[in-house]
Amino acid sequence: MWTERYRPLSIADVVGNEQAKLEFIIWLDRWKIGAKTALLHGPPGVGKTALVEAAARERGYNLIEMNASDARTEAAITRIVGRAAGETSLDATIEGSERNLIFLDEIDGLFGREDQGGVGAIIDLIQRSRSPVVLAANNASEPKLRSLREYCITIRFYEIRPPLIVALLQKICQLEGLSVDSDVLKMIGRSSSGDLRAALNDLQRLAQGRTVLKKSDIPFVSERDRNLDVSRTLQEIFESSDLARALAVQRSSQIDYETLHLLIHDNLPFVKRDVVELSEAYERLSEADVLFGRIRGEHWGLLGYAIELMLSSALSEGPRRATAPALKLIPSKFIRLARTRSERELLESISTKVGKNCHTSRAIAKRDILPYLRIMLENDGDAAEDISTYLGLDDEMIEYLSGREKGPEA
Amino acid sequence: MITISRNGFKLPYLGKEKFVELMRSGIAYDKARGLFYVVEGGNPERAKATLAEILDDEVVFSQTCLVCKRDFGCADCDYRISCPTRDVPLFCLCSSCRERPNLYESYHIANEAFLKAASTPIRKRGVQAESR
Repeated sequence: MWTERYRPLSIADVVGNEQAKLEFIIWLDRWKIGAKTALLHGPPGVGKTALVEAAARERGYNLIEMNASDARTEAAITRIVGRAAGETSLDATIEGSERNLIFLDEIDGLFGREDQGGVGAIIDLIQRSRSPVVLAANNASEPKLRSLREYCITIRFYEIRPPLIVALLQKICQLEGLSVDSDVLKMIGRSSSGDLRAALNDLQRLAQGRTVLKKSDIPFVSERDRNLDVSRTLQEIFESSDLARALAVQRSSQIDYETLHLLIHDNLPFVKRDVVELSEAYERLSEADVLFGRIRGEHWGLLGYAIELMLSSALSEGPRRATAPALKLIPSKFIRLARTRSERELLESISTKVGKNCHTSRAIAKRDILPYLRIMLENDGDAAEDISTYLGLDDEMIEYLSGREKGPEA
Repeated sequence: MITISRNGFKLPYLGKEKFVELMRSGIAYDKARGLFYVVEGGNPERAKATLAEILDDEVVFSQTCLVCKRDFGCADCDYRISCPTRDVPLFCLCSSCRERPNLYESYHIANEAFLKAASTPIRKRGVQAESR
């Protein structure tokens, strides 16, 4: 595998993330017993593991590594790395001998049933370790890592930029004696979504059995799953001028299609200034909404059409605007729901009490009984006491039903 | 559109609230130089939005070419659409350096020099300069 053959041997060989590399080597060089551990986090294929391995080699550490393929229960962690953390290596007394560097990779995939007690064991390891401990994760904001974060300095790794990927691929082609069109390398760089390992694998797969690689030899290099966040998804969809591009963005996005539908709905007026274009966009979006309605529960075959209609409403038709508009990243429906949450909760508890006393369901109580209760309370203020006693409603519930504002407290 | 240099920029008086908001979004302030600068690992989207509000204009962060140290923007880049870190202030390669025949070697040398210079303590760097 080329990913193994061209594995970085020194820190400078690790491509990209210069600032992260710098932070890591400064941390490693200044580490002393009791110092915080380093948590390297970032998407896969950006050089987290490669950096730790290269740094261990370059700085003379004996690397003790546990990754997702090892069972990482409390007992396993204590057995494998616990001893190494408590001691310096056997030949540490000999001048020039290696020190230990403990590396726990992919810790966000750690905490299943198989890894019971793993977090506690890692915290214990960090606290009593006499050797530097490095942790790596794809997503440091995982709630299950919360208890670990206070013992760590976090170092963020970004996706590798396409020009850097292309530079490395060019070098590898040269070393492999492979003649490649620069367009091919650019295509691989673009489709890798910042995952250098994926780009290397793509190049090796395409170059298999060839000494010359032309653009025409490559039918399609599939786009990697990029896991785009809300802001990036919206930006790229609104900038897309063709449906295929918008569909690729939607497939790579973290947002589900229902939320995306709401976000496109809220942001269309900021993106499309032409009234006719805007009305056509809303027309397509409402057609998509009809299809989404039919899909719920059944007719899943319509999903593809609904998504295409939804995305086609957002495509950029005219010339691109000089300045990107500020987009709303939270659907207004969610904001409204959050604002009215306490009111909805109150309504639910009233419906529950009314349903229980009237021997009916909550839904029927809400639909058929509450409107009449409202009218009774509005027209006959004296009835409030009897109603509240009979149904077990408190003052707040009566005030809500009668539509009276709560007066200032004395 | 205002291009913000990653190496430091000045801002008008912000007031406490905006200042705190900027600090939380990954912008730091060097009191001695009176300059704000972008910290990697911050939240560039949030920083951009706050700066745009302060400066009342669209804001983009400049990129720095690791090889020639020139600042440039993402607007004219070939990879603008597909770049996963577009507009995030990081090191990159500018369009003219990308044409170099031994690009990887140039990048490697620059990378090595950057790591060496930045990881050497300032006092030690001074001593080295004097001894030269």
